[in-house]
Amino acid sequence: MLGTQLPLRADPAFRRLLVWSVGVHLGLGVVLTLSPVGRAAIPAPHAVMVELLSAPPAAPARRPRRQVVDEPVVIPKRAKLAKPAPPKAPAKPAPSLTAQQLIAKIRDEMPAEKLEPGAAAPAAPSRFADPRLAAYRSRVRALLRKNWSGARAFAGQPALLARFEVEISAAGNLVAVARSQGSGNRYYDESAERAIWRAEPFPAPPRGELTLDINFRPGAVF
Amino acid sequence: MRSWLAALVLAMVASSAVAQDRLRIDVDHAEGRAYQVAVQHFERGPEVDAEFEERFHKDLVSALKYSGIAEAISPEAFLGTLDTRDYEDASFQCDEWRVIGADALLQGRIELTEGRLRVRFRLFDTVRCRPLGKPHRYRSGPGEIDQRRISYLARRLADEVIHRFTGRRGVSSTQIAFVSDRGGNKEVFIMEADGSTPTRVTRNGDINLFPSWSPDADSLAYTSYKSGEPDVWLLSRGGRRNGPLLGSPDAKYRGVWAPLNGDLALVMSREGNTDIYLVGADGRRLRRLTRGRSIETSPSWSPDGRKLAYVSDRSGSPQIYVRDLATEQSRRLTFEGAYNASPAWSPTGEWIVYAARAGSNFDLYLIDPVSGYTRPLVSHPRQDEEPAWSPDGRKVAFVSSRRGHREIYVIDVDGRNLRRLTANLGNSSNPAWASWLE
Repeated sequence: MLGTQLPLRADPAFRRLLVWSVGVHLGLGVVLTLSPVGRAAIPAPHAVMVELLSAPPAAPARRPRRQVVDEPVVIPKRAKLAKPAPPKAPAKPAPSLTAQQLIAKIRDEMPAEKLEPGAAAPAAPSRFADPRLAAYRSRVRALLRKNWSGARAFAGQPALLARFEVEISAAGNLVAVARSQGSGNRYYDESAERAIWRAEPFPAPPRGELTLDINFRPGAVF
Repeated sequence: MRSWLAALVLAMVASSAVAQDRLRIDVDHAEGRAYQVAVQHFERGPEVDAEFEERFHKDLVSALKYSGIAEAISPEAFLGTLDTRDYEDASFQCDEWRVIGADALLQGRIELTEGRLRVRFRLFDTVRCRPLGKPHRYRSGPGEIDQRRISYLARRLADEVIHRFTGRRGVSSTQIAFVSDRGGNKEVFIMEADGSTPTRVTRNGDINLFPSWSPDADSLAYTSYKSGEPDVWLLSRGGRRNGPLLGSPDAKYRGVWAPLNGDLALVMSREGNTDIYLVGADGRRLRRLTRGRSIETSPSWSPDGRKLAYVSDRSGSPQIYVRDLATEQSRRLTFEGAYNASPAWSPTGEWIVYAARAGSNFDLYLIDPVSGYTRPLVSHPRQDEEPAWSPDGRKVAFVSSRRGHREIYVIDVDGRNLRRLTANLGNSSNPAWASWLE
């Protein structure tokens, strides 16, 4: 094969043709490299990439919030009528909290829906919570609302808040009911506690014995 | 870095919630169910016949329903006995009442002793299985035992049941004064809070307006034209007093009793100008509260007697103002709408209800006297005006022409439980709700 090509390389016409061909290809390569036609298309993929990366996550994040139906309704009246907090004593140095104490503190200050997002917005499954507990919470809340008699006698008094710690057996029976915070109105506290006793038996908790921290607020009248 | 920390803490929080199997539940409102009360027929003494007790029971059930806070369970649902068999035996089977959905069991005994009707009763909390308050008794005054006395005792008892549930008495045993032209001219009438037994209390054949109750519900102030000029008169129960408040010749358009000290706010025209004055119930210590060339009228006291809501046209249109009697400063409360009138301060102090003209009609609104936050109470294509609070602050009586005639209605402050009190007999107006008569 090589032997047959050697004589051709010696041919002057072939050499001129080869040099011309190489020159044409080099020139074409320079023209294509420096041409502005190819540059105009470069930014386009970047713009598309921005759209693709940002738009899809936004939709599922917002939709569940609009679907929440049982979130507490915030009425301007309640906020305006709320009594100002009494002046605080000079702040003491905050003691350092253990990890468990810190967790308990944050849990206490956090709305229930943040802890169990599935309970308030079923369309957005939580990465953390057991969905069975979220569903259980919804059922118990509905049960308590149904059994809270005479609550409208106290509606429109936003300062009233009664807290109960309730232990539920694996079968759904009341084991213990303790008032952890009174509202200052014993009739209101009794109406809330009566709702707990009326609601028994509760549905069986999904994972055995359970402790409920129940906050009763009278809600808006209007 | 912060977001990572927050995410870590959130993860720990959520995982700990699952690990402890501890759930927090916020119950922000109820479904609005009234207290369910099983009302037994009361045991009867030997002098009380069945018809007597039947009427008592019917009025008791009706008064509970009127409250909007409690209602009687139908006897057909009872598993226990329909009657109180032996009032002296205080034992009861809690479960047979609880299983039918009762919050409480009401039982008692009605008897006639020494010419007076006596009612004893007790209330059981059937959910907690224990007495709800102590046994109690009511006794009628001396005199003939008629339907009116029976009904009053039943309503007193119902109001006490509401008190045991909520800490505030019901108002079924209170009365409402109003003006009606059913006899041809405008006279002052008194009816029970549920609209029953309306009774005429003025009979002068002239124009009588704007009744206002004294704080003890014993006397009425009202405006009468019987002497030609409008004058404010005082009328006591039993007719102990019936005469003009002041002897002056000035036109006096309206007197409104203060809640605590027995004084009255008086709308009077003197030297060609209508202003609000303060005067004792004995007609002494007259003091001028408002000054100016504008017209000030429709005074309504705050429950502590320190402030006065009223209407003034000083801005060019009738608007509601609040005057602090200590500082003698007035401030304008309403800014929406061109015509706001008839303010009435709630006995709890948290609302002023008033009539606002919307187009050609008046509707009722509630306004927070501190923040000015406003919300509608009654909206209807016809007129709704002249609101008056019940003494517990849970209901508002008002005048509406929604059925043609002007009639008096009552509605709960949450906009529910609307009912008409007057029964298509001429036009009724100017409701004034009395406090409890002890």
